Amino acid sequence: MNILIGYGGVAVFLVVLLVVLQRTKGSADFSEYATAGRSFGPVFSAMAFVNTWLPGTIFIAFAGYAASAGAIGFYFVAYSILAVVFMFLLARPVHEWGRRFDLRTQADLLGLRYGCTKVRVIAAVIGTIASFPWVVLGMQSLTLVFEYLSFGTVPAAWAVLIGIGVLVARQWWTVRLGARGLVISDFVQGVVAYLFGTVLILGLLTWLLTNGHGFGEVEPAFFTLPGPGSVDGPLYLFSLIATGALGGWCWPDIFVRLFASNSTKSIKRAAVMATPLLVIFGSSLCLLAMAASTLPGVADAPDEVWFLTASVGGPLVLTLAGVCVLAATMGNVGANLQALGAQIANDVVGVARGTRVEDPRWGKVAVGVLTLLAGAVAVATTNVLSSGMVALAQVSYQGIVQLAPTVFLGIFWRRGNATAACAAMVLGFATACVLQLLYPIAIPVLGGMTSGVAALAVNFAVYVAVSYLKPSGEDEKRRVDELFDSLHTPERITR
Amino acid sequence: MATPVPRPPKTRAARIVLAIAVFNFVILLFPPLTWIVGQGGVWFFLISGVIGVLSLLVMYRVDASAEED
Repeated sequence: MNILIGYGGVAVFLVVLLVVLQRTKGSADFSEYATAGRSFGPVFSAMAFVNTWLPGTIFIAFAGYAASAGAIGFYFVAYSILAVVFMFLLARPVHEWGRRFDLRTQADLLGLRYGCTKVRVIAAVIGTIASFPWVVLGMQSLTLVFEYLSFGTVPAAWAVLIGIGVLVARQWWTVRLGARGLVISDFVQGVVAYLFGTVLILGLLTWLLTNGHGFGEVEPAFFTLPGPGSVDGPLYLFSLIATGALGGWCWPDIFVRLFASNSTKSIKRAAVMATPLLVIFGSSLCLLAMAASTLPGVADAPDEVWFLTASVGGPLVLTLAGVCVLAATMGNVGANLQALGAQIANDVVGVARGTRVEDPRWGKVAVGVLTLLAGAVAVATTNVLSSGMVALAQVSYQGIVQLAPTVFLGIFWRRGNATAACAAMVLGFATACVLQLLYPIAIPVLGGMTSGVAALAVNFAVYVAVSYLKPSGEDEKRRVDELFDSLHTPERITR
Repeated sequence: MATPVPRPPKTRAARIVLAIAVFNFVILLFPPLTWIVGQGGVWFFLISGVIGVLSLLVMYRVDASAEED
């Protein structure tokens, strides 16, 4: 009987979502497919950003970290604030250049800024390689949802397959509708996962605090942040926050959200709207996880803290908790697949063919192939390679952040050039991969700095040094000056 | 030799927005600050969260009023 409530709740949510998607119109050309025709206002832009930014595993691994380690688990709230500050600063150049030059992807923007196809392709390849393990993990992350919502009827081995099946089937609408369908579904999914989710979190937190699981019962060490002399090292927390804040805008799926907004002002208003949602939702979830750390079973399986806590409310509350995870996961996985598919079609196939992609079918084929590939890898790695996939995903996070100097210095600093960007990206990515394999958690001799941040220092130094030592020619300098000046002038300049 | 293009001057609003952004980065990314909070880890994140929300509001208001001018 309980499984009917659990799986029935999921079915109701999916039906509502699909009804909304069925009413969404498709795209006439590739640009519209990739950017939703740059048509969304601040409310949709804010929710699309939040639903892409926070993966479903925020309820699982991130909450689990707060349940097992305490206050340091709040680090994702901190880097989310900095990411929104960046969003505000990026709004004008990214939207204006995107609109004037019909940019469709992050790699497309870098190609324009540096006037170099090599930069565009390297950025597209790094973005795709780094994102793919996260798509696979996202597909596998629904295991707990379908296991808990079956109330013991479905074992984990089957639950993982159901989760992958639901997500792969859901992508039919991502393939068909592109960015427009994603932004609209992000709104529905975001309302469920983060607005409704916050209400649920606050309800559960109230129950915990009034039923003997107050913060007085939590271990005192949970309230302390790592500093000098700590096991993690004094720079570990700094590294976590820096990687999240800088790496956020390096993910192709996050960056492309800026292209879906209808104006610079909409992006800035979206940033203002997203911040309280991220802070209230994120902080509430971390507080819940910390308070629930004293619940039976949580210490043994901290990643299940969300489900174990929701279980106290009975089948209905647990179902609602599961639907929140599903809604959050769908937003992140769909956004990733759509952004990667668009990037492959626009910046790899388009460059290889030597033409500007205009037919949305290229995007649909790329998203479809990626979805099937990710689904197949997710099924194949459910048992034997899952820990390897997690390790690969960790490597990829340290790798993707290596785009940061190329992205940020390229957008805010005129002197950066293509040679500097290529050298910095390649050296930074290679350094991060090697350091990550040697030091999977942190580098003790560097005070607990993570591999990505250590490599970022190399990357940044290379970018600045090469920019000064091998400056651009006069023609390129003039082109870049015109590009930056175009942000302050109404006239159009040629690509 | 090409004549350098004159750069648009940074407005007062742009400077304020940049200063607020830098302030947020300093609060959250200056390691000694997190070292000295000791047992107040949760309060540190809650207060910095409120500062973040207020900062974005002020940045938006300053930016919008400059555009109106």
